[in-house]
Amino acid sequence: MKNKPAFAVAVTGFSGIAAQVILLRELLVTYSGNEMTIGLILSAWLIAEASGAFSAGRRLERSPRKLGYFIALTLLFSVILPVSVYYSRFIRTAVGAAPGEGLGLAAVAVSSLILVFPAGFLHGALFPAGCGLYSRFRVKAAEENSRQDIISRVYVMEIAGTVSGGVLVTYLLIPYMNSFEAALAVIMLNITALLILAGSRLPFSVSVRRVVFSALLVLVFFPSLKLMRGLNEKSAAFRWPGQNMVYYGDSVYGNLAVTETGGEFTFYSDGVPVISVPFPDTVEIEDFIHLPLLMHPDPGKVLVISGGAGGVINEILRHGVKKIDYAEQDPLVIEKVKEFSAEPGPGELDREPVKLHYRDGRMVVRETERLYDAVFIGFSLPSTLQINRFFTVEFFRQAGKILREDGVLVIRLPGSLSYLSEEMRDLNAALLGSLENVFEYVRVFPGDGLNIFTASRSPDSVLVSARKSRERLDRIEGVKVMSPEYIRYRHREDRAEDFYRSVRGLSAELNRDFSPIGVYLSQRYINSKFSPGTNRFLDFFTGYSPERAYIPGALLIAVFGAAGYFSKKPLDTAVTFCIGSTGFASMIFDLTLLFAFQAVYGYVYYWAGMLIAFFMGGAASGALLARKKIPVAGAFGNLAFLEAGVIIFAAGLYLVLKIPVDDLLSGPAASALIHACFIIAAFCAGGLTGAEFTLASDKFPAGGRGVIRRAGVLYGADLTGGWVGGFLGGAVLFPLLGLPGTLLVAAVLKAMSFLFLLYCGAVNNYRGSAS
Amino acid sequence: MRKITRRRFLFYLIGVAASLSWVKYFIENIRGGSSVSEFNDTRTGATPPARVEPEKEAMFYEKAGGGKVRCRLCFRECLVPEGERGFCRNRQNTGGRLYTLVYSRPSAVNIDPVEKEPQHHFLPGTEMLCFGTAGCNFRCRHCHNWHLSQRSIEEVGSYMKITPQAAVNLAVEKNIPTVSFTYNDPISFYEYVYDTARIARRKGVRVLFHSNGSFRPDPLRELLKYTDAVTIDIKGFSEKAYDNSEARLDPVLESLKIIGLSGVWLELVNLIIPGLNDSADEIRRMCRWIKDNLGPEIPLHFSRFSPAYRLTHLPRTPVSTLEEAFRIASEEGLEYVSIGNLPGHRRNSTFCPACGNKLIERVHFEVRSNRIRNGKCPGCGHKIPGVWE
Repeated sequence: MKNKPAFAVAVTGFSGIAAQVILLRELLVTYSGNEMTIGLILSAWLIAEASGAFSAGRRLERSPRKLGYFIALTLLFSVILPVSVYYSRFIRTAVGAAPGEGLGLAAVAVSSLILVFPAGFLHGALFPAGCGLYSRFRVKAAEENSRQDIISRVYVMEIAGTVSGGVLVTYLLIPYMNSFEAALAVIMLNITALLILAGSRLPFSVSVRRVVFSALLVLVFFPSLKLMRGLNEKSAAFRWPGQNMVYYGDSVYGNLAVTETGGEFTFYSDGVPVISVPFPDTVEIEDFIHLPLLMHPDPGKVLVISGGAGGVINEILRHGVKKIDYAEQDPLVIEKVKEFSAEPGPGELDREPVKLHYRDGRMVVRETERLYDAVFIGFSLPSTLQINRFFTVEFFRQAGKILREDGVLVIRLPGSLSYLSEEMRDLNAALLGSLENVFEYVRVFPGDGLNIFTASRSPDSVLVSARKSRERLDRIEGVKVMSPEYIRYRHREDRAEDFYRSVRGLSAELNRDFSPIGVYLSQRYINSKFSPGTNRFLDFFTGYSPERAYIPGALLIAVFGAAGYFSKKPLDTAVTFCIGSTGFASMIFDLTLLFAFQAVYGYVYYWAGMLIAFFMGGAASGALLARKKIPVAGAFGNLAFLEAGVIIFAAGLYLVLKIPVDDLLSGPAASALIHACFIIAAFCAGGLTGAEFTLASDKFPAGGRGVIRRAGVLYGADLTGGWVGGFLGGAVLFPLLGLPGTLLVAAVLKAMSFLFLLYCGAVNNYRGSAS
Repeated sequence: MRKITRRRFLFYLIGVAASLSWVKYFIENIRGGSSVSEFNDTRTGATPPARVEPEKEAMFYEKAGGGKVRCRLCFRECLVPEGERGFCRNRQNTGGRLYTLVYSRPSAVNIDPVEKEPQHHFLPGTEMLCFGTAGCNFRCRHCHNWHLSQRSIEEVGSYMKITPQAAVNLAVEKNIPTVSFTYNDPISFYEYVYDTARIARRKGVRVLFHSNGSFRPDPLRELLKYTDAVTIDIKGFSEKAYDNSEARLDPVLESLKIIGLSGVWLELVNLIIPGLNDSADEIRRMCRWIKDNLGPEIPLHFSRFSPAYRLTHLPRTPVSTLEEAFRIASEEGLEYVSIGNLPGHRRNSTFCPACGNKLIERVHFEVRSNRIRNGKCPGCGHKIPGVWE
């Protein structure tokens, strides 16, 4: 291999994306998280990387042992990764949670930072170490100028590794390996790269080296594989102490675990129990199914979106329904229900009226030609963008189109018969308003634990008396809770009146695909249980009004003005800020495209991977273009141009998101066009980011601080910006402002950095002419 | 050694200060802001600045010098400084006197079947008018009414103004035979419970309360004078089980003895939580204690756990565990054992301990038939303890 450092650096890129995905998946199971959690975990990784990059850049600049450092950092990183995976399964106990206790956002933020910091720090340090390595191997001249483009070369190579890593992780590691096995794959690849890098220093011939290294790899691999499998089993069982684990595995949609105790099976999706057979929560299921269906004169065709297995289908079948379409996106769930569970689990799914669809429920709704008497949404809290898609005005409209005139849509939300807390009220009010925006008749059955919402265009299947429902009891058999007395109890008007009195008059924003207020309100509800103080932090942002922006705005201008004026190298300061703010903006763009795609098409895993790959590909292309095509003399002007480009891109994306996509989605040609638009947008966003970074690192002189240190500063700034974007975007901006609002925030920030760049350029010119 | 410049020093100082502030903030909020401290942090992180005005002086407290007061209502005996509140969040020291903040301020008023308490031997098939408000002296991680019990009255936000007299009048108006104090623990709104119970007794309305039982003896004895029935939660029979509620077992056992001697109708409920209090040994020790100290006729309800509040990652209690608990209790000689939160199970119902006949058929909270006549089994004439009329 001729370009050994290039391969080593590319492997570093691969290792980084693999480590992020592996740890993210593990922590999502630990925390049972949503997009806010993803934002916190990724931002923890980024700040760890930034710290590593900053620290290593300073140390490595003058160190003669650049190869040694690179090898040591790579080995340390490789060992730390499986250790981090192991401890991710214990971290809840480490922060003081009781067995079975969930964690709030604050605890997630702290614990995820502690957990990912070692691996992230080491990986961040590998970027300047890679620059040092490259300068040692590939650049013979000691002149500063000829070393200047090292940063951009290493950046491009690392991106190449990241892109190929993203593809390999998506299609190979995650579907076929557990987290420890995937970590082992990373370790072996890193060892291979190091052997290739350092092997030439050994006094053996090439063929002898090949034999020895191959033997070494085999000797390391097989015992390590056995060790990793043992660690996986042991640490997975720790999550469910005292229970007999019969299955633990991952699909592309998440983690599934099945435990058994005394012949009863509990299915956990990302750590949360979702199915219990053969004794499910009878009250919950019978309420959910029979209260609405007993109001319908004759339900013949029913659609269930998620949550049908484990008793729900069984209850629907009692009504003599002719057709049940059940959409469950993850086939692994159904496979394991059939394999492991007890009745009513397997039997209900094999009955003749039931047809399974292993697809996103929203796609099923969009594409079906059937008309249904009832559509049941099995989710009960729109706490993730993925689930929120089934609680939006846009979805309700789609569902309305596939319901007969007297058909009924049924959803559930957290509730209480004793008292509705503020968070519950807000969430219920928003969803009630969203339903009433689409359906003329909406009725709520308040319940202990869950409120049931029924919505229809006709009063005949919603505004039905208890007496009528009791009369229809004859058509079902074998129910446990549903009785004439129970139906009278659940139809009590005082309960419904109390509920409406609680929620009426609350200013309720509608829940929409691109303005997912349901996610924000769900997060507030979750926070009220686990970390109420976090809601005060979020309230700070909801209390914001433009009139209050003047003082902080003036302060901000003063701070920037002083920073530029008093800085010894104002242009360096401005360039670093540009890179940092573009890091923020590019994270926002990345997340916007992923979330928008998710909102429109559902969690189509491979396409999400493609979007990331095209983003990184755009970054590599932009970097190459900036290296070759832009002269040093034009650096300032071109950077300003790119800054303006980012602002225009943010504004353009904002306008595109305003287009009602649902109306355009019919037909394969339109769908293909929209897919292409997402890919082009991802590529352009990446291109702008890559070009800016290369421009900043290549064409602006590093000066006395040295190339490697400058690499650390710029990379660290990029990562820090990405960290802020991930943290703030995921936790606050997206749920609160929606996608378009968040893009405006990114555009405003870039406008600030653009103006700051011009200002610092002017200060720099003034000082140059004055001297 | 590298020279430290002023800029570098300032940078490090700001960084350390910011880091410490964040760490402090996060640590305070990791557990929802609540703490076991005797009198600090009784507000959660979400408590708004405005506070409810104290209007009614509390019962059962004494002055402790230095402006502090010692509450004597429950086992915690909080020492409360001026301006602070006790652990339950409902009793505040203002000017050297202890006041209750929730008197006549119920947040939840509902009509529920008496079986929901659970009470199986007290006026079966009737309804009760239930009152609850904010605050609690326990911190159970699985509380189903956490949005009331684990918050201060300010955080709960909305409450009604219903005096004790009005509460009893409401029950009379609606022809409901019993008022009940439930949802959050009545210890934390003792004065309201006490005054309402006294008026209810005069008006012929029965009084029931559902508690964790951690009273101090004097307040308990005083309240029992005006009480007709009590449901006590036994969280478990070990300190580990009570750690989940940041409480202790011993005070509960003392209270049970007092109630047992008072003649007030008592039923017990034990929510079995997987991995926390479900060991056969623990259940056996509990059943043995109940029989030895309270007698074999005390009804004991084993309840099935379902994920709630902060305990969201545990499975539901296996039915086999509940049935094993039933078997142990029967072996230890307890005569009226039932299984709850498992609708349709045979042991939702009440059976005669002498002849085995089904006396009250029950599914969940609904009584479908009641064959008890004059307090006796219609089959063998065995006297069934309870309050039947």
